Amino acid sequence: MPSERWSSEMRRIVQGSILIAALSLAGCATPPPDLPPLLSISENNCDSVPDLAGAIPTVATVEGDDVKPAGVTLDIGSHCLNNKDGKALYAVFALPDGGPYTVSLGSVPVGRAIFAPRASILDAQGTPVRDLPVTGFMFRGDAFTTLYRSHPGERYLLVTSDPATVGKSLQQLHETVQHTYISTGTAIVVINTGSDVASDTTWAHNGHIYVTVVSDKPPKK
Amino acid sequence: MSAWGGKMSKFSSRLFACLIVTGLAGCATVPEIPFDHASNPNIKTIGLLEPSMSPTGVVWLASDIGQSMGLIGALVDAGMQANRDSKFESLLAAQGVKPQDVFVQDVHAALAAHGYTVTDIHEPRPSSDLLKTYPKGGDGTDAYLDIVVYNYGYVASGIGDSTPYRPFFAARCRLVRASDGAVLMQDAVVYNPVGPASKVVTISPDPAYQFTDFDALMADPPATVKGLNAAFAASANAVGTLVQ
Repeated sequence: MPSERWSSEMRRIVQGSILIAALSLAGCATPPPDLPPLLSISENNCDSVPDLAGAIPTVATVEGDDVKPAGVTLDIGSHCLNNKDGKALYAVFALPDGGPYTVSLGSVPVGRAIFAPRASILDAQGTPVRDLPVTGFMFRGDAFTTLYRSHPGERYLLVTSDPATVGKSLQQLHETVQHTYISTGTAIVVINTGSDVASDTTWAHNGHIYVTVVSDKPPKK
Repeated sequence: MSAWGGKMSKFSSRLFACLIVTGLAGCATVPEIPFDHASNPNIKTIGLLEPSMSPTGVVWLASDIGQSMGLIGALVDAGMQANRDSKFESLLAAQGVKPQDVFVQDVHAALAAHGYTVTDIHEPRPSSDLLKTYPKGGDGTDAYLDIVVYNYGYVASGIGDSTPYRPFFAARCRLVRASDGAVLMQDAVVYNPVGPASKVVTISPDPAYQFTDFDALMADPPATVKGLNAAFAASANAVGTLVQ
């Protein structure tokens, strides 16, 4: 005979299952369109310095608020830059005045391609101030991400493709649990099923990148 | 407490530990704070607080039929979970594996690779979460690294052959300046997350370590240990990267 304690335990378990379901549903999204990886840049008229006039504006948010990512899909028609180690597609993000901020740069797979990022920070004149270490990029879910703290005078984030990484393959495994809700008329039964899927993408000059900027102001209550 | 009550309590504890894994992966509630090395050039010696980490891991079946069968199914599930965990614990013990020692050694190596001197510090933990207060320094330590390992072991997302057991690991970490207690870095690391993830570092599992079912996992103890160690090492390296 189930005791009150058992009932309490089961309530907690059901609540936990609902939480898992909510988490899984939150992760559902329309599959991205397939983008063949761009492995070389044939454009002859690449910029010698980044074009700051076309910088993508970013918006600072407060932790706990809805983030407002500034994103761009880089592809064959995007600006390219002559780097010492080869041509690279690039984008410049303009950071908001003020700070300090926690800035997050992410590169997400678009079909078979994932943009191979390299990033440096520029001052208001476009002069490089510092490079973000390539080793600082790690995956956060689907996004290959680096986070950094902004310093005074840092106005632009220059993101270029990394010729040294372009062409390399990336295999990843993704485990998920799907929850199917079936009504019996008097109760709802949750059927859980798992999946274990491998993805295969290629580091490329093209892909989608985004930047979020979070202010140090106290979290929203 | 009755035997069943004890079993249910243990089961729910395990389940919630697993929920924490999915929770960590799905919606981290603690904001990520990246380490700003340029602004903290004097951080050279890190005091590694003894991590909060269960001496035993789990072998977690993230979805199975029992979960859909109400109370009876949950009880059967609890029994099977306890059986798997017990056998896994015995396997590790037979192989002479002390998970916390292995992980701490990996963190040492990861921090040393980034040029830090590391000292081990035992600090009492009132709970299994990150500490609320930290030592005040004065012991030659520039910063304290607090790590809470929520769960580790093996997970299979389902019961079929297409969803093998793979190693998993989930932890939260925080670097605190010794002189004033300022939080210099805060993040979470999940090796082989089950489900969507965003605001935590996620590491795809090494495909070399997969076991079709629980029997296969138990049948090759050296490989099982190697897979777990791979998860520890990769996760420790991620912690090292977070403080580079």
